[in-house]
Amino acid sequence: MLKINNLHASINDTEILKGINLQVNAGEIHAIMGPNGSGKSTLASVLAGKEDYEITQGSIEFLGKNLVDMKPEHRAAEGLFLAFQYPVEIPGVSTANFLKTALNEIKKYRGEETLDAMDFLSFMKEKAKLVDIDISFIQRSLNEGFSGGEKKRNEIFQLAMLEPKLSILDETDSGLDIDALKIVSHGVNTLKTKNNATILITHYQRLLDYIIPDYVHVLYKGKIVKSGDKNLALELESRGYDWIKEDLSLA
Amino acid sequence: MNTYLLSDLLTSSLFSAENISDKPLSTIKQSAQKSAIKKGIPNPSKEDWKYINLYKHIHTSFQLAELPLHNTMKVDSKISAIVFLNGHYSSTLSKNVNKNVDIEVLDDISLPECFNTLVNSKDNPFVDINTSLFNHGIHVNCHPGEDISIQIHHIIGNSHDSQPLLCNPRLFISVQENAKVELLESYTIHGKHHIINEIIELDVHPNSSIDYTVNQTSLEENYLFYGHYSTIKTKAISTIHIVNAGTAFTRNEINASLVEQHAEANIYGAILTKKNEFIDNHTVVNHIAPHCESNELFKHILHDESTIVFNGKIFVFKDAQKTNAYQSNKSLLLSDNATLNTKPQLEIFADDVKCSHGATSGALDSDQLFYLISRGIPENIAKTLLMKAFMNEIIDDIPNEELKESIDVLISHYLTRL
Repeated sequence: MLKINNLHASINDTEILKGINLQVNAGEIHAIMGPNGSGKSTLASVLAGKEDYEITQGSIEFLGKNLVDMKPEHRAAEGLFLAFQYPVEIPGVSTANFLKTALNEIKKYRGEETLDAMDFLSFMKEKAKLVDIDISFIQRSLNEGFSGGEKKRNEIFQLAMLEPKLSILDETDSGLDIDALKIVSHGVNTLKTKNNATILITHYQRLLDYIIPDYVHVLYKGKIVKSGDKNLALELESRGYDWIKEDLSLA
Repeated sequence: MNTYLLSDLLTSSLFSAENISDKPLSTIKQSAQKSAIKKGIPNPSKEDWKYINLYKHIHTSFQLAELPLHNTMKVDSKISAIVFLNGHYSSTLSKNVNKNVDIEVLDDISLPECFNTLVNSKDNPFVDINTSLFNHGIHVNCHPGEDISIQIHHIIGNSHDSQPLLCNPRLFISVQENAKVELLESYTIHGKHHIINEIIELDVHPNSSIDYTVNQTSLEENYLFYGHYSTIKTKAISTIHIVNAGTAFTRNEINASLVEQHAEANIYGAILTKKNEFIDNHTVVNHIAPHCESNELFKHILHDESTIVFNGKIFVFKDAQKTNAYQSNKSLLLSDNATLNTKPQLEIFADDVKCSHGATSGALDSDQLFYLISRGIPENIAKTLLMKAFMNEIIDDIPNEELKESIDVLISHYLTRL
């Protein structure tokens, strides 16, 4: 589904990603872990198409298409979704109106029939139930005055609505208390199918108690320096990142 | 028909009439004529006209509009309204007027006692020009204790190639005690380069309220001078919403005087400009009595080479203790060539008041924009969503649901045509 090959990316002439290789297949959950400043969020932004970053080398292929030259809105329409680390507040735009626009624009791109107000409402109610979110919450301005946990739940609700093929969850667990973490994880697990894939970007192993990854990768100084299964996350939890840094300096 | 240029209007025969009678209306008109001549057409050396070069905007010749004898106008059947034709009240086109509203053509007998005293015409000859030249102005009297809904509709010109007209609609609106009035004003214009020089006086009696919405959209290549002067008495509330988009030239003068205790004035503006459009909003809130409140918010979106001027004055008089006066204007400057001149002005002579004013300007928030785009919304649609969201703070507050929707559609349409 996603093939990243020798990806280098910079912001303001500072190279952040220094040769990333990663392959994600349908049905898989990948966790990307790493210390602060290792390039985790940059990778998420580059995949979503944030303009601030310049790709200097390498390639990204998504469902057989070259992602690098694709506009961010087309990436979404092709089935890519980024759950933001810091979802923005947009006063004056309701979550419902925003999602109706997004969903119908994606459908137009795909040449599918758009949803009318009634169909959209019933679809939205169904999805709201699935991720256990109150419908009144959706009528409010997008994220305005929401707590950290509410914003993250709204991201998962959007994920449910847009049904992406590949979801990238950027530090979705940060700022969540244990109850919110359970709700968010439950949402992600419920939406999981054999046809879609998930990349979890996280600092802590905690989230991985609730969403079990198939693969764990350690990102350090802009490169994936170690990959393994969920046991790698447990090892990182007990030993920290220093042993990886030491291993690297010995190598 | 005589034609005039703005530059020679005040020296023309229209302003050389001798006083022919000492009746009340002609006396008022005579004195307005003198006052207009004395002031002259303002140039940018006058502080309140600093950013307007009137002759640059208005250089075509025009006729003084008369009430057509044979009119071929058709009024949209959906509109049940007070209709002004070329600035004259048209009793034939007006219809279905509420029985709780009296409409009288302004003459020596019907003239309200404080007619022409609620205006503030300092350095502004256009009020005097209207007073001198208006014909078939009206007094709208809203009965005490009634809930009243009124539409005022202006039709200007009769075809696309009609000669430019100078129109002087004049209204005096009395909102009697305990009345609750919702008023909606709109325009249909045929042809271009018409000058609409409109003056409205509002006498808002104790415990009453008026929600006044003026839809100044799609006046296209015409020029609007709009003066709206309200005097607000004990526990009365006067609110105005101005929506302006797609109009070549507009000068709004919105004045509210809080003359008795616990009165409230609210002034809101949603202003969108593009191309070479120019709009100047001058507002004055006079806190004369204590315990009054005023709220003012103008939101601007500027594109292309357009210009917006905002000048908001709040005067808190010596006796107006316990005044709450708030003013704010926020602008989205979306072009390097657009110009915004904003000047909030606060003069306080009382010592126990809460007042604030502020102005902000900036571009669309890039994080908000990316958030929307990353969900599959194309950039131009995402921008429109954000601009509408910006204006929603004003539009959502408009009481009339139908109008709110039509303005919403109109703004979307306007923004997507950029």
